[in-house]
Amino acid sequence: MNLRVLRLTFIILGIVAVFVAYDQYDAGDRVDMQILSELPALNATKLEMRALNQATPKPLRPQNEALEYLLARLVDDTELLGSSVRLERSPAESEWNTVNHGVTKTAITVSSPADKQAGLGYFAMMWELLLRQPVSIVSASLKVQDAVITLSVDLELLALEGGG
Amino acid sequence: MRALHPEDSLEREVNLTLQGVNMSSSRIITHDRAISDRLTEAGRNVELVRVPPEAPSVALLGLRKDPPLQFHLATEMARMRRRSAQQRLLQSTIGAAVFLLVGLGLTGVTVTRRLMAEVRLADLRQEQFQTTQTHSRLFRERYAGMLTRRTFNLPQAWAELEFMMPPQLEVESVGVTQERLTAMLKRRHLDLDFRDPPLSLGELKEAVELSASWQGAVVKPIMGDHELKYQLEKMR
Repeated sequence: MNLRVLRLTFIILGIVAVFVAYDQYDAGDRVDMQILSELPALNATKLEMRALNQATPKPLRPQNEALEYLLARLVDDTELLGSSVRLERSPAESEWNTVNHGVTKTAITVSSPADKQAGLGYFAMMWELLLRQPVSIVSASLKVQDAVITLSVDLELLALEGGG
Repeated sequence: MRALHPEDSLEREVNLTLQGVNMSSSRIITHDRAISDRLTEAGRNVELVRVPPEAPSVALLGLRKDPPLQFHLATEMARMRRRSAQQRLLQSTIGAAVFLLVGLGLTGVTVTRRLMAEVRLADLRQEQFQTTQTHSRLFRERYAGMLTRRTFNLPQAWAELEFMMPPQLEVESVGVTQERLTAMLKRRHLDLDFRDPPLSLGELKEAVELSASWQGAVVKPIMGDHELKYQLEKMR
């Protein structure tokens, strides 16, 4: 009789143990899946950090200052440029889109005509100025028409999210 | 002495009787032919004797050797069955214990595996948290710098073309997008009345290869309305 009770107890406990084992296996699998899904994001972040570490720091300004500051630099930092730089859209029309980590960007188009003789050096300097700013050049073109050389640059200006 | 009947299980009765009286070496003697025939068919050596007709059926005794079959009494059989049942119960209990041990073992292994995975996940999240903090700071500081590093220098590409192209050609436009770099070249118009020296596509391609920014660019002649232009295109 005692053996029968013992056998029944063993069987019940065994079934419970197998159930617990299955449950734990399932839970372990879920954790593994979470690790597998989160690991690529971490690796991508590390990879991007490596690239960021090699890049030159460029301080970002708040949105309301960034555009004004960029134009001021383009116009004021060299007398050559003078007032020939034209912004195709007013700052008020700019729409800021979130990039990541509190960084936003807006697309702006800058054009600057000049005569061909002065143009090349003129635009080389302007290009250098642009590269020093927190901008990304989406596309650009240099055209000569009727002895006038025109530089059109479609760029994205990066700024800190929010006005302040 | 036991009275037998031809319809009974003779073999069993005979043997039980012999065992009961401890006379395993006795001979079987009967006066009943039917019994004799059946026992003979069963392999027993039976001696048939004559007795008065009113005598009861008599069998016995006397096997010359122990029978190959073992016969048991009902109590013995019951005892054996009980012992067998107890053995089976013990075996199944041991089986159940093994099942429980295997279950416990599996539980131990899977719990350990889950705990280790959770520790790994916690470590990963901790690392992710720390990395994200650094990453967001670096991103705000240097993202613009990283983008600029990849930017092509367009005025320089223009200057290279101006210097490297054959004198018959001049640059009309240069453009750069995220995917490609393009340039349009046209024949230079001179006011003086003389014919331009001829220009081959091979010469143009050689000149393109000498220009660092334009190496590998595809050169395509384009026929316009009144003039021939050349388009350079290079994937970035």
